[in-house]
Amino acid sequence: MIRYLIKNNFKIMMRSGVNILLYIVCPVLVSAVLISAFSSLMENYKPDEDFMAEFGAIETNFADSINEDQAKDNDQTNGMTNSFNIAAINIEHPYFVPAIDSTDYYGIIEVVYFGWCAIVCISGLLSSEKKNRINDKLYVSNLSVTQIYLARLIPLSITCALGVSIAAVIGMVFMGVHWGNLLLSAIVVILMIFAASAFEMMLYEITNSMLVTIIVSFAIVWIWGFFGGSFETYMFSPHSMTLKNIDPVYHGNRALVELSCMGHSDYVLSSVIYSVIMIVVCSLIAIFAGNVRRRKGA
Amino acid sequence: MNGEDVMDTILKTIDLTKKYDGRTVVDNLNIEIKKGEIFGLLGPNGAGKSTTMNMICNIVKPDYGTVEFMGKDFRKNKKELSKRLGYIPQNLAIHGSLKAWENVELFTSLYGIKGEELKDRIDESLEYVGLSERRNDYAKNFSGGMKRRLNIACAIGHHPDLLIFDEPTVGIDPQSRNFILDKIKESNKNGTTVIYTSHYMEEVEAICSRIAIMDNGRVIASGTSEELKKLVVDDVESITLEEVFLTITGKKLRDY
Repeated sequence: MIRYLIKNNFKIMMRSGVNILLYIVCPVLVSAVLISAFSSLMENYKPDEDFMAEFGAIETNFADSINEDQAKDNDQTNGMTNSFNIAAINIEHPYFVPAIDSTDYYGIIEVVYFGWCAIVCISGLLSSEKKNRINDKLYVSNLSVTQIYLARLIPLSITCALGVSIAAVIGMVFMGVHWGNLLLSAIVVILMIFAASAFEMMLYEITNSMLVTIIVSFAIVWIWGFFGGSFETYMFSPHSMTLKNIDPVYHGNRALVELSCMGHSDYVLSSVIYSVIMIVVCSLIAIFAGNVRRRKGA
Repeated sequence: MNGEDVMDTILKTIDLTKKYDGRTVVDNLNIEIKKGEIFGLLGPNGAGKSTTMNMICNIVKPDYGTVEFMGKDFRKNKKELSKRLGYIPQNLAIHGSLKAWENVELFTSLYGIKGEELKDRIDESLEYVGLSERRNDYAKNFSGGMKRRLNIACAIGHHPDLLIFDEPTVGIDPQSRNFILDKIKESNKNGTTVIYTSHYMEEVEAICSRIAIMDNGRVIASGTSEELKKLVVDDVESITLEEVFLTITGKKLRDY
């Protein structure tokens, strides 16, 4: 029953020039600026030659456990002996946790950050529905609030995902951004976009105002991005881990960055769980708010 | 009420009441619409016409009372009965960034029509309102009259038994108005019952078989055009429906 509604809502969103600007032009421009600004700061350290590592160690022993020769060479105090040894070992084929450079970091993070601004994508549709009282006609046809919600959420998420994908491909082709594990990255990104869409749709259902929704959602997403590494890299940021751990953007960013440079990440699971919880909880609240408004006849 | 009455009556409101912020907008409204008629609902601004329409269409829940549609409680049988109702709102409930055929597709599909049947209904609806040749044009590029016609096309694709028009001719040129009124009469001849609200008295007089005048949430007079005129003067030729309306509802401005 809502197949055609989803299809036509999708068309409305795809025909909006704002989406091209938001999902393709903005992320590519912003990531290009940040990549060049931070390229020297984030230059890779990848020593690939063998090297010598020297280290010293102080051994402390009780006097009765040392032999006579050692006792001559070392300082003795109150029955204790301190000895100082220097050793050197040759490190062959050194392994470092791969570091990410600014191209990959900002090429990924900024594309995803704009994916969190999903509400702009549907603002034209929701404004048109409100202005022309199209919801009334949807209610006359006996469509439920849940069906109307899904008919907005699904095309919104698909449109955002498409925009982010195009921006990601542009980044890969023209800027050389590496996403690492593409499959896992895609799962993380798509779920994040669904979560962002559900979260912002929930705000709209609660406030019933597009302007308020955009201001509030942008403010929240900016705060999440600030603590989550969308502007300053999360590796170098001084923010507490507690703040980072409650931040959905941080989990997604870290998962994607680690997937890019290592091919795997412990944060994939937490990001997926975070996104799924957000989708379910925000959708339930949005549908509840929509039902309350419908009962009031607003 | 005998069985024949039930068959004759397509829609009936029973003690329909709605209050907003303590103000009674619709007050124990009882109206009965017969199958096959064009029923005109008149009233000054704030009389409760739109709220009544919204309650009939299930957009707004009444505080008290019921709407019987096809002999059944509408709210309790929404799933079954909503397919039998078409609503043309006062607002242009269309998307400007969709093409004409896409708008009709969207709203017709809401009633479970799909596939080839949906395509046929889209063609039929656009043909009916004279927009077949503009089917691929975006609605935002249409004139006011064309948008009004498209608004109607979006409400008729599912072949409803009852069509509710809420001021469908506001702000359009005489040609478009004439076209719309002709189409309403044509739909009625084909068996569709119509409820029509408007501020244009001559329109109502021209197409409605029965008229109710609402004020302060109540029906204060009803009947045919002649019957209403006779409430004011004996010589029905000497008075217009507008004069009757002003006599019954008063000349005081309604600022709502």
